[in-house]
Amino acid sequence: MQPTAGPGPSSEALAKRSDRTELQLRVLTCERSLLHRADGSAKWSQGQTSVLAAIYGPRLTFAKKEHPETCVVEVLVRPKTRLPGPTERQTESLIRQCVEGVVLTAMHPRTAILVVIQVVQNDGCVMACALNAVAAALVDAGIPMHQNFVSVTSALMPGASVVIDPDLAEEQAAEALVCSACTTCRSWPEASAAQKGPAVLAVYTRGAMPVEDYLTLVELNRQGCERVAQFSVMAAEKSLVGKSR
Amino acid sequence: MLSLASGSVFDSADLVAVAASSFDQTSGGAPETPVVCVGDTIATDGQEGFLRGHGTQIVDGELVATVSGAVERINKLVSVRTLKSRYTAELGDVLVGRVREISGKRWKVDINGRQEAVLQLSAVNLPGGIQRRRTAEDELNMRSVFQEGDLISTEVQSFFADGSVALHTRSTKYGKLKGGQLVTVACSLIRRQKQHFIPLESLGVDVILGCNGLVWVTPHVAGAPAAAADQTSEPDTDVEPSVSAKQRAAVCRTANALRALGALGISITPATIEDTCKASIDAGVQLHAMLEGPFLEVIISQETQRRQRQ
Repeated sequence: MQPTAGPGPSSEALAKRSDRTELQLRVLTCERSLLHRADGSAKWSQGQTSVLAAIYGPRLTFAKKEHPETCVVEVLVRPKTRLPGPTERQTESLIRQCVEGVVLTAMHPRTAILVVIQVVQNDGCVMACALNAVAAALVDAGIPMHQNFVSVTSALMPGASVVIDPDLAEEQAAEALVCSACTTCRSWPEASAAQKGPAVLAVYTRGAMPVEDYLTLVELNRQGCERVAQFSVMAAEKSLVGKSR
Repeated sequence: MLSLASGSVFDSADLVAVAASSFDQTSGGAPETPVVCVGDTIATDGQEGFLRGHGTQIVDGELVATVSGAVERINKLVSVRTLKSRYTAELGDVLVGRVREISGKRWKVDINGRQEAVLQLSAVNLPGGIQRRRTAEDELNMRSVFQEGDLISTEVQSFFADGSVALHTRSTKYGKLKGGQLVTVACSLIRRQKQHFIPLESLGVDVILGCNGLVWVTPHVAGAPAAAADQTSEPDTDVEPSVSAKQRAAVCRTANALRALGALGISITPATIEDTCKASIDAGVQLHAMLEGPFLEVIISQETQRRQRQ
């Protein structure tokens, strides 16, 4: 990573990538089963950004919170320092919607799944990294799901260029950001035979941009998700082979 | 094959990886267990009449995995088994659970499942005979049978409409557990077998293998079933049975053997428990050293041999 002079207003030199091209993702790493008290846990890193996710449940919850027909999903996001604020609330609600979208909630009535996310290191794309960590932790917890999901962020830089998987400096210099979660689609129920590939599950945007740029970024994210999905499936299979007996 | 320096810091993740690779070598040319991830299609070889088991769903006539794990096929039933998940109860399972709360005519029992299980007053043996009316007085005296925090051994009796579990302890072998040690392992490591109350006379311990991953180890009692408390004859006394130092050592050895097997992900059966304990005695391993690298290597090589024999 380029030793940047610290965050600040956009300058061309700051936003220029030195170690990868504009359309290149950072190195991904995934570790599972780190926490022994949780039912499932995973640590996901994208370059210098690193997020730890823990899943508790499906388990019993307070009578006030439970739903008679489905499993309730609760999400807690903890930033690296300070108390959680509105940004964290927003991340929580996006993650909750994604998890509710893929988990077979009707299978476990009157229970709750608690998702706890701790940001370990922030170098941009924390939301995407958190979503990926949650997806890996859900697999680790053995919770039945329709589909797994992955997430990628891309940014519209000053001068109408686009970058995928921005780091913190790029994220702060960017005019607009799009973070989307896509399914690891190998067989999405509603997908027709022609439209095979990652289906978009959720989109989060920040900043203003023209519609064409928005669509470009969503498509870029979709293609990025395809790559991340390959990695996520490979990582999952690697952790299963040899142990499953 | 096993290249861990002795005296190295114990790292279970490393050892599990070593165990996995050494087990791989034993399988040789045998077909590998197929592994699927969430959303993968499971090959059904074009056959029409497959049955959908746990961890699968049918999408457009294709069988799709909903969890990541190993595919198991029993005749036409296809299911996917995960490495770890919460316990899913089946009828007749022997469990070890902890009483969480008393409400009305029932105890709420934590069985490490998705919901707390229910043990009804009518599903326990009360002191003074089996055929007895449950009076309001019995309801008030429920704490004299099981208190909050008590460990009990029970059996799954039935299910409610929402999937929660009803338990019973209507046999002398079930009831409150005391004077022993509890070990928790992943519930997938304990297969359902004929006997879950296992007297291991050679080791001098009795073991209760709860299907929910809770294992109870007590000193061996000759002739008696493994469960300690007999609620029918005498009222519950809080006097702990006296245990000699030798018996304590035997219990600790068995408990550490279970922990080691659990850390390595080796399935827990009477044979594996006995082999592990005997290996530790033969090698002169101290109790505290049973969870350290060098002895775990011994267990791995033992398991490798066992699988080669099969």
